[in-house]
Amino acid sequence: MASPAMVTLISSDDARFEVTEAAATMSQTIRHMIEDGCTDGGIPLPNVPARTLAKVLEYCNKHAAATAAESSAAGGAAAGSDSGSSSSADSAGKDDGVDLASFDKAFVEVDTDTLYDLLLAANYLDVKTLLDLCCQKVADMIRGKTPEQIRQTFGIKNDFSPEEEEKIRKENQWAFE
Amino acid sequence: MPAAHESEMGRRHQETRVGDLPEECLAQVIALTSPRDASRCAAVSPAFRAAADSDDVWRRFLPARLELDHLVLQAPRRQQAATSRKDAYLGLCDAAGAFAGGGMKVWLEKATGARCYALSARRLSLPWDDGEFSWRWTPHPLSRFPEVAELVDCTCLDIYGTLPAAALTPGTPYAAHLVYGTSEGGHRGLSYPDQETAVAVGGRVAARHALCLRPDDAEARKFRGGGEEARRPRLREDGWWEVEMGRLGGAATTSAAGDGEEEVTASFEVLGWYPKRGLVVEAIEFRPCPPSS
Repeated sequence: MASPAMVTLISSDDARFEVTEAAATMSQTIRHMIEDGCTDGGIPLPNVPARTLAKVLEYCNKHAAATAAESSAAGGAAAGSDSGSSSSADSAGKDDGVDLASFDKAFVEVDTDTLYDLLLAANYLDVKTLLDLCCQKVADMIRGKTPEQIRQTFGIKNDFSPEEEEKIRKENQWAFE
Repeated sequence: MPAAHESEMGRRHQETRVGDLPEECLAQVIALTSPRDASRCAAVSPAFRAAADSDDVWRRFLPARLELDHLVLQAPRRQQAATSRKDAYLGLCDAAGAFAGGGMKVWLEKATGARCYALSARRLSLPWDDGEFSWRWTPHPLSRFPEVAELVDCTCLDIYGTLPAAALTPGTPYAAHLVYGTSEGGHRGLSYPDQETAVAVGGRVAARHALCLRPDDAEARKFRGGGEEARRPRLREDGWWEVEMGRLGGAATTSAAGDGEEEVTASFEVLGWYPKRGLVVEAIEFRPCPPSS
């Protein structure tokens, strides 16, 4: 095989992305669509805008390449034959898990709107490791904060009436001491 | 459920975003915080509240059923009757209603879910070598246990309690505390000098301290010497006195738990061969240290 299988993804705003099947199928949602043979003319993703999809694919490409490099390294000398496509995989493989961890860490260093978009897209596309990564990032931003600080961090409007809020605070009094 | 997602996306142009996440996502996020954070999240907004009070979140904070069985505990009735996982969790945090088995009580520290233990006097090792009249077993109105041990008379006092290290919540720093009182008939030999505690993991001493169960400043002056200032007790809300016996670092509990067989030991000793009486031993407690210290 000179080149790996490619698929085309179409964002909600009609941008087309060509990616390797290995990267695309990190999304269970896309994997199921491919298995069901719904790939002719590209896979439409009406819930994901181009800006977010590009970011998600950046993540998937990086992780798929790392996985490929890992398995070809495990396969030993067999790596020589598929040189055309695997150059990026090779370089990702050499700096292994440490590199991937720092990639992940940097990947979610984004503003809260982007983080929100990523989380929602990861949930819809069902990319488990990306969803876990985004959830952990949001959780880290919540930890140790008061309700006011949480609202401020994420720009959340307080829809509680003062009476309601007072009641909830009372119920959870211990957490505010 | 594409319909639900489309409506989520439709709302995106409004100012709130993270608060508009599907409840399941928000619950997944909050489950990665702590019980205290989750309870604060309930006051952020109605959407946060729905997620923060959900069973998906609190299931994560409850110890696994197997784990409880492993600790030889009877599941409390309150837990079975609880309507939500949050209520079940809060039930397990109530030290007064803590569930008991094998002469000890177990509850969870509310803010973190870390396990807390009280070993009753019956679970402790008390010196018997002075003869069977050294200790008197008696019910006590303030005690959560059926009996406490009252020191009638002895010369050499040495008390210790042990717990499997695996019972402690891994990665959590703990402190051991002696919970005690003095008998109505008065006490003797409990102020100065030479009272010592130690905590150890698998036989390796992690901390050793001088302390004083009944500080008496006039007497203290007579015995003042170099070395560490003796630790003093504090009066608890339940009427017992308590003194910290020593601390175990989070690393100690993690490595010890991995080992499986090791025990943590907290011991208290009054050195010196002179008469002692009137000490009432209620329990030794293992509790997580406050995070700041």
